[in-house]
Amino acid sequence: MVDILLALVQGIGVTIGVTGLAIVIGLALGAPIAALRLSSNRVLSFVAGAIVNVVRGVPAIVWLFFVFYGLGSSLVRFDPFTTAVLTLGVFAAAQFAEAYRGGLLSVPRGQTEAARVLGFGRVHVFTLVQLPQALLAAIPAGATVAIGLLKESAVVSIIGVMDITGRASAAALRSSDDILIYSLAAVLYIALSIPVALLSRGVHGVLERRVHAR
Amino acid sequence: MAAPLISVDHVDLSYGAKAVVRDVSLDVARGEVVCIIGPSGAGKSSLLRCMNLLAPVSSGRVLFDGLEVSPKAGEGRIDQRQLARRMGMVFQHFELFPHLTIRANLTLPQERILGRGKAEARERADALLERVGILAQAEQYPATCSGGQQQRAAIARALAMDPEAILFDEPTSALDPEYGAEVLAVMKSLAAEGITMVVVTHEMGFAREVADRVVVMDAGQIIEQGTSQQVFESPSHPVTQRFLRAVLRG
Repeated sequence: MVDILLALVQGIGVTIGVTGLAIVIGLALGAPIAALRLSSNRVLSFVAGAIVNVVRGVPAIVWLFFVFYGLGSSLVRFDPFTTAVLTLGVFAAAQFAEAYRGGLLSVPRGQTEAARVLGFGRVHVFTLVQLPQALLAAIPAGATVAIGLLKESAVVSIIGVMDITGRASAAALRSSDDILIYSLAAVLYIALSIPVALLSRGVHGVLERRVHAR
Repeated sequence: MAAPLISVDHVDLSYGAKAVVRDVSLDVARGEVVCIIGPSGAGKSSLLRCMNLLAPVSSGRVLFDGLEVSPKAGEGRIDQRQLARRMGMVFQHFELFPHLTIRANLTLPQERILGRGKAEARERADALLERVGILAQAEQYPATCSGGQQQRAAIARALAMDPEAILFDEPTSALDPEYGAEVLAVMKSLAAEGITMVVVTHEMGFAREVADRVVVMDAGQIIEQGTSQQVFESPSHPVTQRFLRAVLRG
């Protein structure tokens, strides 16, 4: 059992790497997508909405095959890890965009009106008044997306990335302890997701108590 | 008579086919306290919002100190950012920024918009918070304060910009009566100081006692106006009579 566990633990770094980088890409790319989606320009908001729905509407595994085997065979060939990060990153962007959007929509209109009649220009109304409140409101949804990505990242094993799941299926080929192996893998995923959930709840709780005490 | 500070000139405001303000004209003199009363849905708040571009007029115009209030700056015009330095607004739901402390709600606009230094902004903020009786709450976040404290902070935030006029949009409607009384007391002291005030309110006691002029609106129009004595003692319009009977009963 210890040797199996050791084998799986070696995949933790890859799982965290794929998920972490995808989250970074998603957080960065999701913001402009959300901004476009909320734009008063109908064409821009339609295009952004279409991107979000197409990306989210197709399973991650299909995107992965599409990029790795589809694009990979004809256009650009990335190694499996890079393919996994880029694909999950775009997938994450669509989901974070929705979290951002929900956060921005949760800021009451009176807040922007109050800022405008105090004399703040558009940029400052956004950065000083809307954004801080929107980010706070987006924390729970964002954490759900992050934990979802952690689990979703298991699909990258299918193109040969040796994450926790990749290590588990490799180990299962060599032994008959499938139940034990995949149980250990499950425990590792849960162990990784708990800190994310706790951190999100802690940070959100502290800020939320300040901002919405009643 | 001197030129009015705020002049509403044949203003219409409609949303699609729905006309919420219809051909309203109203002059407010410098230092005057005007209370706008009337039934719900009369267009009182909408008229107020026309005065500072929260609701750009559909036709007609609003002048502030002789300058046309306009979405675009220019010769003879004043845009929202310029107007903000001269006229503040207090909202029904306070609209303090919840992610900032009470004091920061007052200092941030002073620093960012008026360009005051940190020390000066803080000094001004604390003087105003003391004046409205909530200096003890300076470090607290709005959500930990009572509604009355929040609204007094919102008034202080408006005052921190040294406005010539303040618009009040039902400032006590969201408050329990005892908190409303605190807010009205602050407003009364402002009126005594000579700041120009336009107040949409359901507080008939305040209107009667403090207003230099009471304006009655119904269905998007001004149906009657006069001194508080005229309007409250001998209302001439049947809608005013019915409205006052309803709100003053009991």
